[in-house]
Amino acid sequence: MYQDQPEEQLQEENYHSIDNDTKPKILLMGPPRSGKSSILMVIFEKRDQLETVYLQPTTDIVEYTMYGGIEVYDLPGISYEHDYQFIDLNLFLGENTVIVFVIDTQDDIQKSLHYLYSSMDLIFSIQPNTQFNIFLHKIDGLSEELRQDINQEIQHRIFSHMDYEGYDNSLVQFYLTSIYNKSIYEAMSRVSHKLVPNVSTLENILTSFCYKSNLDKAYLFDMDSKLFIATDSFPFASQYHQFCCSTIGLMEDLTTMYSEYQLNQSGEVFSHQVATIHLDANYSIFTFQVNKRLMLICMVRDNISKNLSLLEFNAKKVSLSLKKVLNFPDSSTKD
Amino acid sequence: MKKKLLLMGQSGAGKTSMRAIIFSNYGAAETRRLGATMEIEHSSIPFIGDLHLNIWDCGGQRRFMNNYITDQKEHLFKDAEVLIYVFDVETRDQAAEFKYYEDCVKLLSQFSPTAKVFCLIHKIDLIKQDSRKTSSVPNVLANYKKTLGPLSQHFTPVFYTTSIWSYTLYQAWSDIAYKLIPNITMIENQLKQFRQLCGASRVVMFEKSTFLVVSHTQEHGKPNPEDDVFVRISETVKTYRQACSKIRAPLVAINIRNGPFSMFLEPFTETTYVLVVMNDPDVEAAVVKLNISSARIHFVNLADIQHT
Amino acid sequence: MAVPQIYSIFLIKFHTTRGPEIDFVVPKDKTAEICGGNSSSESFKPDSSSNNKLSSIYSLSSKPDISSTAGFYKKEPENVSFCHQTTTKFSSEGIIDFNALSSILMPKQILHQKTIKVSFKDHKVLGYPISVIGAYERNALIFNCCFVFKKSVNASFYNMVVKRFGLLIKNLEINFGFLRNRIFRSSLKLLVEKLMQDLNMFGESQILLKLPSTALEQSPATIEFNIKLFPTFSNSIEIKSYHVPVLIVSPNSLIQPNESKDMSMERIIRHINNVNHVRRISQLADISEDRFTNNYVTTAELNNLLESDELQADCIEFVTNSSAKMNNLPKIPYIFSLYSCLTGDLRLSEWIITHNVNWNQIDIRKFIMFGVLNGFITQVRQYPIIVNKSECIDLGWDLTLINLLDGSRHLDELAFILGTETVSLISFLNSHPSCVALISK
Repeated sequence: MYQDQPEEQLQEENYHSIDNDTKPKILLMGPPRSGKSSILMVIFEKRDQLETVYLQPTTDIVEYTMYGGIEVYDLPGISYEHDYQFIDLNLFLGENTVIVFVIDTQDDIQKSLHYLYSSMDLIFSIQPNTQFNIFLHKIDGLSEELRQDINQEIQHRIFSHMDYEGYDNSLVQFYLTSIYNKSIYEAMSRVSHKLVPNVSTLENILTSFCYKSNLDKAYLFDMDSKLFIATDSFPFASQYHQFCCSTIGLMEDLTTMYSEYQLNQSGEVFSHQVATIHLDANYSIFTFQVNKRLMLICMVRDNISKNLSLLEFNAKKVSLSLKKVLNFPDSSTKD
Repeated sequence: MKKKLLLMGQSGAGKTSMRAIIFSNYGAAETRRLGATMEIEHSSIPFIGDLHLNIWDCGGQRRFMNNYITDQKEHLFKDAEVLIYVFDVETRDQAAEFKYYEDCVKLLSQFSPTAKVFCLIHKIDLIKQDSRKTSSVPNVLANYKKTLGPLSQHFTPVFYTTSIWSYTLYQAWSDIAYKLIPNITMIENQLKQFRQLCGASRVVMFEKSTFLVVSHTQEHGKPNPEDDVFVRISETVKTYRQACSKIRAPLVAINIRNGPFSMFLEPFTETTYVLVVMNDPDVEAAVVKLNISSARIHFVNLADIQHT
Repeated sequence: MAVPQIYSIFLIKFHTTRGPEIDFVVPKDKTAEICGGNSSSESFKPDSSSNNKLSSIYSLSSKPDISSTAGFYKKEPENVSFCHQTTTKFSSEGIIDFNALSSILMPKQILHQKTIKVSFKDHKVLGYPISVIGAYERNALIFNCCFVFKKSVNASFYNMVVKRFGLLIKNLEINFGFLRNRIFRSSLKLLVEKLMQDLNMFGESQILLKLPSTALEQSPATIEFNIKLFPTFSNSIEIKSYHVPVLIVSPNSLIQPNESKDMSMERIIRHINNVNHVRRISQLADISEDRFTNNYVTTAELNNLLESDELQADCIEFVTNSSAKMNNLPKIPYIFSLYSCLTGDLRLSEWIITHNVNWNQIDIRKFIMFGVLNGFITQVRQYPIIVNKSECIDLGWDLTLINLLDGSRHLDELAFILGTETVSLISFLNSHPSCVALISK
């Protein structure tokens, strides 16, 4: 997708030295038609949700590369739960591999669970400490109460199965997801950001940024996939994360709108966007573009108009150090 | 000043959905939850200044339709300012749809001969998925125009192709709303002057609650009618406003700066928002904001207090 | 007393493209009268005598009675030629004009699940429109099972019947797809027929319905429905808290052992003894409202609030005052500390003041409700007991009062018996701390 960008190649090289075993990987699994490919297409190919309605079942492994070199694999769903015999799962399972298991909550849940159990048996036999992130998917079609009921029911069933088999319960995490709202971005972010290399350093930088500049939250987002790479270490509310996704969407839309008709003047889109969004209740959003793909989004509780320049100065410093950690050449030559 | 808008069309054509999106901040996907409209649903929506849109959303079930054109005809068609007729491209019974249209227009010409007629060819997103090349959007539109033209009495209906999944709906409604604003030419001229005075490359005025485009002006010549950039801003900003209200922090203003460009979206008069696009790195943001607030006082008189 | 006679029952369904329409009429031979209809042979002639015997009310005549209908509904000649059969089908020749009444019998959402009564010429129609929300074409299935009576009949008896029958069908639809599924149509018709016959004959009906098995349900389901006409004196008796309900049937007959038990119903019935007034019953049955004089104390369950993210999100969502803005949302530590401060020694009103609870941020009622519902907090009741009887007698207290203060009754109950407000009772007792002790439990 973006291998043509020089900075990405550097990034890639950096990870070639890493052993295949420890390479961060996300495997998407789940019964056929549970929505695996749709999820990835919405996130990585920016497909419209409606386009994915007519997708044919996936038959080959599809690979995406995420920011930070994380590889994402879409494994085809197989109708008979009797596993991935023709795929050598050993190739995919390493120390840094996590599983995303997609369950269609509007489908036959019993069947999906059987599928999950056999996948668990297989994977735990190869890598016993593999994390399972279970996406209870397509929840948009269910009523609020039904969502809770199904969520509890599935969790209960999976936990009791795991107890029975003697698996560690803490290896499983649940997410309610839908491609029709921002919940899928949040779930994927939460799954992937643990795998980002040097994530703790990034987190420290952002935490200190929040502390020094009096911010509520600071996120480092990958604009293309709307997934966040890192955030500060303060606890985060999912609604704020989803709100940040909307903010990126807005920036994206507004940017294309003005660049569209003014391209002819310079021929290039500038990648040093700074924006402030004022909300009621003295709340503000401040965004600062780090490079072509990354954007800092800060939530500020004070009125920032008075010390906006200071905030911008800090953001510049922060973005420099973030780039250093992420090992990018400093591309901020024109200002 | 109140203006009566009739929103008609067959059941399931999408009348209530489009009303919910434009006037009640529904997202396109949320309209799935809406039920059928029983008889007529009235809503009065404050628009620019003291203009109120009285929308008569007429349930399109056959029994209701038959009542509209018989017992209720005078009640319904009298004093109407606008008839918006929504055609479902996927209709099961097109002959009946055209017949009802003809009857409605006939009654409109009888009771409100000066009204305006708009035909919305709706759900065009469904056309795209048709593999046959013959049914492209322009073809479909041409067919509708050919059939409906002769049925429209002395009216010259304005046609739009719309879908709730794209900005086309905003475009159609912006256009309809534009034609209803009484002193629009004055607003337009003043806005142009404002743009020149503050050296902006573009200035757009939006209605506050619907975010429909009221008027726009740009540096080089007249705005291109094919240019839908600002209609798309309507949709984008409105979607974002929904996200803001979800975290209980209503949107106030947006300011984006990137290289020499800057963009200001600010609340303007009581019922409007203004978007100013600058293409001059030498103009400070504070100056633009000052200009906007100076102009605000002037436009309040123009847009909010009128028709005395 | 003769049973008020139902003239006919018909079912209206909302068709997603045609609009409201009559699905069927019972008895079948009244179809033409209700629907109107172009088959003029089945027109009728109203009889002036108000006889209760159905057979003699209407004499079937082959001539259409033009005089009774012509004045009401004029068709525009230019529109008669409509391309839809429905127009002609629902002409106005019946005993009711469905075209005119359809908007009343199938009203907007706001009037759903409300009894609707409409008079039309010599008849009146009683209905109870219901919408079942679900995976239907337009997200809802709307129907109304209407009962038709002669104008002279006292139909108020049937208010309950129309409502209960409507709700029965609603349940059948939710559980079995009773209206959606065409295979049940004849069952429904039979059911309505039997209901009408029974009610007209005996004033009550017991229906045992065996549903044909569908592909989904392996065994045929059996539905039991019992209904009886109870005389009601006025449709809208305003019930005051001092009213005393009197049982007119044995309470045991109201509680059916095999039915799913209605606990609150049983609790209430236990206290209806022809003496207790409504408010006392509500107190005894412990259907109390939360009030600012109440005391609450936390339970061990409160820890759940710290452990569950989901609960925290729900909690914030629920207890936040609707006017609160984003920068002012209560935080979990704050909420937790507030709950923790409910130690049972302060009344809610005092607690609000002591801990300076931010009204604008937290909706106190909802805050307490959330706590009670999730078992974080329970109400503490105070039981006053006399500790110094002689002093009380010296103060000239009424003996009955002294006897009441034996520690077995809580304040609310006492306030009731004494006919005062809990608040004033508390202040009275508090003014004599040497005589009375309050036990909390």
